[in-house]
Amino acid sequence: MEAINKIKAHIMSGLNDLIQAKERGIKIIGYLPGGYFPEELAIAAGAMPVCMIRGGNHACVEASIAYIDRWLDTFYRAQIGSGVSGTDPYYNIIDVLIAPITDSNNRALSDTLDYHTDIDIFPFGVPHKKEESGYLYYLHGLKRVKIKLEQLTGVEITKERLKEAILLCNKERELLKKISLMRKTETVPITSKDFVMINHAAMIIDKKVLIRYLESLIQELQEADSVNSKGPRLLLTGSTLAMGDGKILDLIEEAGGKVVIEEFAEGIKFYWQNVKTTGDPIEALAQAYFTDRIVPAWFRPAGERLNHLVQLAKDFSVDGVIWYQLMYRESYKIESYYFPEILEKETGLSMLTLESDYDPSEIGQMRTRIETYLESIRG
Amino acid sequence: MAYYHELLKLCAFDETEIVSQKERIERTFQILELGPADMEKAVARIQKYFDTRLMGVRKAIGVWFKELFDLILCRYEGKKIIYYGYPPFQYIGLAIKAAAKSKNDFYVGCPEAIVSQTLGQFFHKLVPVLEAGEGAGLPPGHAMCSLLQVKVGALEKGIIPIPDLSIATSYFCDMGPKADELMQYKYGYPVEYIDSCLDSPWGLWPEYDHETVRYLGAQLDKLFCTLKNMFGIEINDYVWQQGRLIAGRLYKAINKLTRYLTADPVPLGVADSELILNFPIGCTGSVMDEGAEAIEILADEIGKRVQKGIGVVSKGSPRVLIVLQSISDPAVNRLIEDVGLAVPTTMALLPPPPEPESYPFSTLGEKRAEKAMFGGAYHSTYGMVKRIEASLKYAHVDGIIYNYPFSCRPFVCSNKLTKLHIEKETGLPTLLLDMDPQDERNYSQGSMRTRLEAFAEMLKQEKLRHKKSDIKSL
Repeated sequence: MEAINKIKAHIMSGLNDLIQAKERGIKIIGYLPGGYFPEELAIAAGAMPVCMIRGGNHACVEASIAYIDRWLDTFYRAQIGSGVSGTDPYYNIIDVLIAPITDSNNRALSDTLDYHTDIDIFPFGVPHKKEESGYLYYLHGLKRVKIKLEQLTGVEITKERLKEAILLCNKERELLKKISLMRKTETVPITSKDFVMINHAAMIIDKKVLIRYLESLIQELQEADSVNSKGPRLLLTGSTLAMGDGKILDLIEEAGGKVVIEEFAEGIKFYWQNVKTTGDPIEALAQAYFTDRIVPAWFRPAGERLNHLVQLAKDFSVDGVIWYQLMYRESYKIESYYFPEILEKETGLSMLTLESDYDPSEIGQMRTRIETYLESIRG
Repeated sequence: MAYYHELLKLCAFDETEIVSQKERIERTFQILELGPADMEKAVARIQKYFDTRLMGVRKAIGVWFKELFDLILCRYEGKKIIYYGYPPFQYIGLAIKAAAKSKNDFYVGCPEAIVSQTLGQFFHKLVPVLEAGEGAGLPPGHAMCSLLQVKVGALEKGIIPIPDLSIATSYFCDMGPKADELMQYKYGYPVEYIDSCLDSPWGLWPEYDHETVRYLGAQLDKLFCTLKNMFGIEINDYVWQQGRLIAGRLYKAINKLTRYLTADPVPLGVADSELILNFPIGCTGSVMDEGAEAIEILADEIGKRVQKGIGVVSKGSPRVLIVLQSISDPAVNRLIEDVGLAVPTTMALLPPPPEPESYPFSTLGEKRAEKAMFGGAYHSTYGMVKRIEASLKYAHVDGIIYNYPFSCRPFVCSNKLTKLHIEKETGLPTLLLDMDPQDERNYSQGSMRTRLEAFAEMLKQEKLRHKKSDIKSL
């Protein structure tokens, strides 16, 4: 598909775009994934947001050993490895790193980069409970981020500018949702690999450009044939699906499976709901990004997410669920123990749990387990 | 004579206690599946690893048994049960006790600390509990906190009762509240999560964002509402102070003892000093009176050792600060002295640095939250590191053994930064030593000894070098 190819090409040239933007005096706002930094704030400040979502490289994990113990989430260790070693050009180009602090893993990243590098780190806390006091604290954090970005860019983030940015990001969310929902039917016009790729694109490339591509893509998809229509339909969920960590999707595809819906805290955007365009825009952002969105596993409690997964499994008529998480992400590991019982009770479906440390030697074992699981589904 | 008689006598129980508590003692041991062979093993273990010449040590062990009986039997004895997570918000358990009409109405404590201490330290029977925890959602091979495995395993095995309320310490680590969520799913007990965000930037401590205090304060105030709604107990400023007073005698005794520990030669071993570490952290019952009495006796005994110049290692041995002791394995606690190092203090016993002036927060929750921020660990990694650095001024040590639980994420997040920062700011050599305070399957004593020996040798050479240069300068 032409639009897909264009998005891929744009991702490849993303770094050059950022370099050129920086040469024009535009500030580059790096942020940690997880969906708690509203890109709208960076856009309204006239800056370019870029998510630090690259992962999957075991060499980066190995590079982290000098700075952090191995008992932390693989993705964040990889970020530490690439960030501190200076080998990731994205870490070298950003003017600030906005770090929504969600759990111990990204706190370790924020602290370690702060200590070992000259990167300007700006942490702000994300409470772990959806209560009024939690909402207020998150809102306070967004206001701090707003001031930081205004100081950095010299641009006042007015209500008008913010509302304009919200409209832009709403458009992107609507298009992602529209594409995703196309997979509810028996005819699935887009592979999960491509859908994940456009999600990653939405975290690193210019929104206006991406929106143009997504509109073209929807037109192409409406006329496209189904991809791999015979394989079992799958829900793929977990902690992080980083850009560059494609082996899970490759293995499922090679085994004849078909992922029709994904749910990840990091790596898949929360595109199900828009930000309200009425009222105070920063409060609307806090409402949408904190209160309205489905919580990740590190909320206490996080049953809302498990209910959401059950609903997705039903809505997308899946035949099975694959839980793909990275090593030592404790919140997800604990949930992966008791969710299969809920899933079985609510839907009659089984679940396969896979874990990765970005180690290439995992592939053989992972392939066998996926093939066996799909075989068991096919009956 | 009862099969547990010798053990309890060794632990300073008197005859009348053993007789009057017979039913409770036997029921507890029955629930824990501890028989005559276990009693013999415990006697041998206590005699081998603890200094039972000291009455204070024997009494302290006895207090742990009493706390164990109270925990295991609290449901049968009709008490309302409240568990709190580890590490607890300071004084929260005691405030609940102080607020209750009768302190016997409630059992309040940290069960995993008590089970680890008793089944691990004295009976060497913690592994089956850990295995139960592994099988119930905290599997091996994933760096799951072994303290939580003990809690989950003990619930799974039915050796500790299902609580009426669990207070989860959601502000310090992620695994604790998640384990409570898992147990809530399995057993349906309510959990109150005290949440906060450790989001203060590097370099901010001792300053803090007032909103962070307000958020944690709101969470504590909500807990107080829950306690009122569920149990009819009201926690206010007065009650909080009463809670602190309950622990007054205990802390006074600990302070007296810790002053003696700083003598040269250090008069008490690491395994023995461990006995008091979790008294104020894990328990709110017998510890407050009988535990305080045990430490008072121990302090008097140790005071005499100091006067006579008696120590567990020779005078002039290198002195090290350790983070914590194993709460289940006295053998590993003894290793540090075996290699010739003296331990005059631990992280938990370090005096707090002077607090800056308080901000006039209005609610009790906010006032308590502000205190927690000064403590460092609930502020940020930087707060914790600076708190350690500030306290080291009073420690007079030659080095630090930063022995941290490898599966404790707050430690894992910060240990390498802590080493770098402390070595740079204080010049004290720091050994990072990963350990597991609850699960001896996760380390080898042999390799730990090798690392300690090398560190000890380096400190000894360093001391010798200083001595020689002092002689030259004379």
